[in-house]
Amino acid sequence: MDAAIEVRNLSKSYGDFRLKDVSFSVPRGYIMGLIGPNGAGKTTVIKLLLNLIRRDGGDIRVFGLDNLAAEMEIKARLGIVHDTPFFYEHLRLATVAKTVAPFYRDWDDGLFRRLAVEFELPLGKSFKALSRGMKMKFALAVALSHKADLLILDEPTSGLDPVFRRELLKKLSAFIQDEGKSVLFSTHITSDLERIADFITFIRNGEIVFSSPRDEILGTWAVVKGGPELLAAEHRALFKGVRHGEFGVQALTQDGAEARRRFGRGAVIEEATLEDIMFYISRENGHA
Amino acid sequence: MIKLMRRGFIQHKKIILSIGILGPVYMGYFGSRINNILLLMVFCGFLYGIMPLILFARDDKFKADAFGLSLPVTRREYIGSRYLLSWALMLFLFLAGSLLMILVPGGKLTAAMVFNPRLMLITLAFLTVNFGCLMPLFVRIGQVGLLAFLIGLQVLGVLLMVFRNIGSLAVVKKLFHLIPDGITAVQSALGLALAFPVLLAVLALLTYVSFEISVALFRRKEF
Repeated sequence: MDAAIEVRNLSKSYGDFRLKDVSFSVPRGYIMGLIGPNGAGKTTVIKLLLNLIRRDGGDIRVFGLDNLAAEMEIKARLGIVHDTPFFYEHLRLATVAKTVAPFYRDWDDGLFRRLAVEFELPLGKSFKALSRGMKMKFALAVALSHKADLLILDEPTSGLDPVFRRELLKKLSAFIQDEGKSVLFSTHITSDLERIADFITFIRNGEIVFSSPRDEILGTWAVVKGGPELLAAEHRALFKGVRHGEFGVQALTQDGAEARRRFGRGAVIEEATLEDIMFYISRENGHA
Repeated sequence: MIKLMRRGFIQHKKIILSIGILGPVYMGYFGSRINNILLLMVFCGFLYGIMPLILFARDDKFKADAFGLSLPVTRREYIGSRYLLSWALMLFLFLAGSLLMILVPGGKLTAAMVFNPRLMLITLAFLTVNFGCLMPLFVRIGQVGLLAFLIGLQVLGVLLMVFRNIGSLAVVKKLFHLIPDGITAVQSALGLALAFPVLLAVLALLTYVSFEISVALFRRKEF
């Protein structure tokens, strides 16, 4: 499959944090969700993709090109939303857009104005007058206005109200309908990804836990609920994370089918959500 | 690079206008009150060399570089645009400030004194050396670091005054005279007609070296 992003054995150390041999790829024409708890390394991966920080090792290819050697060519085709929008606070939104537009050959001012109306952005107001959600909307409008081939969004839905979040997700789905366009979307709000992501990469403590198609993940991972017998020695290897509750034991397994075969009616087995997976795996080894 | 300069100008428009008006007015007034024109020009060289850094300190404050470097630009172009914008501002301050020194009513300076080629070269030399050293430092240590560095220099100046009897002040004085003495030496060796372009070329080379150092430091910077 043709890849929009291909990351191989990426590593980076800062102080006591280490990104260890991270590898994943975002196929062209799809949405990849990057999930993980705070401090897992999601923003570090995005900054490395954008060459905002230097890697210690590994390779990054975007559109098949090395991200350092072909930096300009790649960035001309990217739409970016940082976790904190870094625009000049005192400038009016229309002025900020004017400072960005000349850098993109395909900047479409008509599209920007339409998005501004759709997102209810007050173009005459200064950036500092906006709420966090509105700042994010503005950053999104800028990222979508130059017909990028790849959107890289770092926590774009944080601070957005649920109505706009849904609209944004719809917009992203429509974006990839245009052949060859792709999205890398980092978020804590895993329910957003369950709606739109085609692939999920889960990162924890700087390491990739998995990077797979969403349907495969949701079809295989399961939460098993039952009595203490679930924790019998022969079953322990089946579970990735265990929670002891008032009414018994709940555990996450990567092999729902095997759990069904082993426990049958002796346990309640439910499909795991991305949030369940993140929760149980993050608790494993004390990383809650 | 032009796009980046334009972006820089729009982002810093208010500050550029404030500096562009207040700087020459201040220097015009100050210049009209001072007797030692050499000292005045050295002061101009230092003051004008610091002014552009006020703009880029704001980039630090708003973390604007992280977004700026997400645009399709190279780090070399990014720094190049800063140097061009800075020099445009500094030359404007230099010319406008010099002009006002003459025009302020009751001033002691004449056009012949202020626009003396040797004096202009000395000012430009101080400006080049000052900005050429401060810009890479700013890239490396940021606004807070630079502020600490400048305060450190002030403290050092005070200490030298306190301990001037041990001869340290003479060393500083000699250091400051290096530039005017050097210019005088080149002038007498080559003649004014040749010395002027040669010295300008030397200043351009110094700026280029400073630029390359800044680019190398900026490439190592993480956002």
